[in-house]
Amino acid sequence: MEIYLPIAEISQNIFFLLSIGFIAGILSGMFGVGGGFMTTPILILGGVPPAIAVGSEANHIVGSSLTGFLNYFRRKNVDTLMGLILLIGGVLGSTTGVYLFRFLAVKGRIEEVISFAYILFLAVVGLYMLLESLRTRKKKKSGSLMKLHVHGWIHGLPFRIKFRRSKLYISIIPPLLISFVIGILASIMGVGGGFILVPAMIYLLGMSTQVVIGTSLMQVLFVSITSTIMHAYVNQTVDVILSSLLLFGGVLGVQMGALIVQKISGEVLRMLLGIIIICLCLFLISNLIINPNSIYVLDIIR
Amino acid sequence: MRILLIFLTTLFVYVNNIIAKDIIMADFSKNKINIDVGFNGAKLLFFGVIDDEGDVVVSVTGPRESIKVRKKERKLGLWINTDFKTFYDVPSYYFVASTKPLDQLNANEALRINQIGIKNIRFEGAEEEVKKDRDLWKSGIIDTMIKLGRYTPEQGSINISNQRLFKTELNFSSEIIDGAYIVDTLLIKEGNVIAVKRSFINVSKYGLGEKIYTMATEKGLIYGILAVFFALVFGFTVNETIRRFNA
Repeated sequence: MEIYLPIAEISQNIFFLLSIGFIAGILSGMFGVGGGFMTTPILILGGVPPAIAVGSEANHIVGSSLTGFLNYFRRKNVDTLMGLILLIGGVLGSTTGVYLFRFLAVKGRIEEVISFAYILFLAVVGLYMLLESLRTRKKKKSGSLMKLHVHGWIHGLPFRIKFRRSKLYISIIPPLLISFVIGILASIMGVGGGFILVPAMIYLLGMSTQVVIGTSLMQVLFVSITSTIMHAYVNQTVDVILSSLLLFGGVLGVQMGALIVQKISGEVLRMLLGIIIICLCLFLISNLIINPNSIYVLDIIR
Repeated sequence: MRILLIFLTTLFVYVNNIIAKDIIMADFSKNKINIDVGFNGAKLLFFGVIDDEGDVVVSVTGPRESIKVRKKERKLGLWINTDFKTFYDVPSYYFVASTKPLDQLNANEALRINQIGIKNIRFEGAEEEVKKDRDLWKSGIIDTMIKLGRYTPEQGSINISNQRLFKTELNFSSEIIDGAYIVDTLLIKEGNVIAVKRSFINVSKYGLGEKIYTMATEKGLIYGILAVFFALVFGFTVNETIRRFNA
């Protein structure tokens, strides 16, 4: 069954869109990521113009991340204070990113820079998560469990705050800095940034996996609200029919993801996310190697 | 240049209308296509009468648009974008039907002038390139358009009955954009175009799709806020529903 998307100006299969939304929803409920890092490339491959895929995806994430966020919020698995600080850094970073994007675009060759950066990031994050979770699993079995994060000098910088939910007493400088950098990357790559934020919160800040997901969803929710409105206002690239269909598929996925999370432990969760990120990375590499369907790509100028 | 072109085209159509006043008469089963949310392509019947013997050629050209073309090349084993060019007035849709295959009409020059047939489509851009390179870009665009399903490489057929009545079917995929589609009907006799008739099909957005499009383009900010609001309400409702259901 086909449906015509009025802003994208193409027809798409309804069930294709619903299932993409569903998969993104599971990812979002399980890992606290928006799922944009996965759905945006799939939508583009499915024929949706890239700018519209990014804009509509942001709108979709608003709905699915709220559903997930509420689940974690009720179980008190959200560190609101940490979320707020991450949000400040994220908004500053993504604004800087938009200008950086424009600067790089004027210089030309931005597309290669983005795709190589993307692949590099996915590879590093994915491999690290996979190896770490395997090591933890081994240690857990042998009974010698080590503390996940080591208190480095960076946590001891001034402006230290007690983050009760995360069980941390660290400076606000590292979370601000991390979310700022991720904000820049997110707006350059056109994703919410959750898939980098989650590992960063676990490994760099040392938060526990359970709190990380809810807190990350909080950040993803507000970032996606801002970027939906910006995309709609500046670029007119939000297709509500597209995002509604993704949303219909997504909400069920989010609930399912949240249920799965309760059944499995933190390191298995990190291992799964690691595997998904590596798969996506391999997929993007294969896109660069396999002969393209067409060596000419047409972008319509409006 | 463009003004001159428009002037010449107008003159061309005008002169032809005088000459062709009664030689070709044509009409559609419907000359309007509405693109609503449920749109998945359209079929139109195009028919008419010719007042002379000869071959009939019908071409349909979609609204012209500007496009940026990127070319990929393999460098060190990786496919990357190596160059880009901008082209103007590229037809967004192209289809041609004829009573005989175009190369058997013996009217290559006339077909070239009237831009009939995929290889005769003309558009502007990359003027700084030498002709050979420019032609490579152009054929790249046309091949890509065929792959996208916007241009139809196979020629449609036209049936003539009683030597006077012709009819053909025009197919539009769901990928078409809105605007005016130009339908040119040519009557060709012994390699010469003896009559031309120009008609139009109006393709426009309609219903819910049209409302969404208008709002998104004219009131972007409000549209964005509403889109966010809808997503929030939806996310909240679903969460509440499932929570009550589970409790």
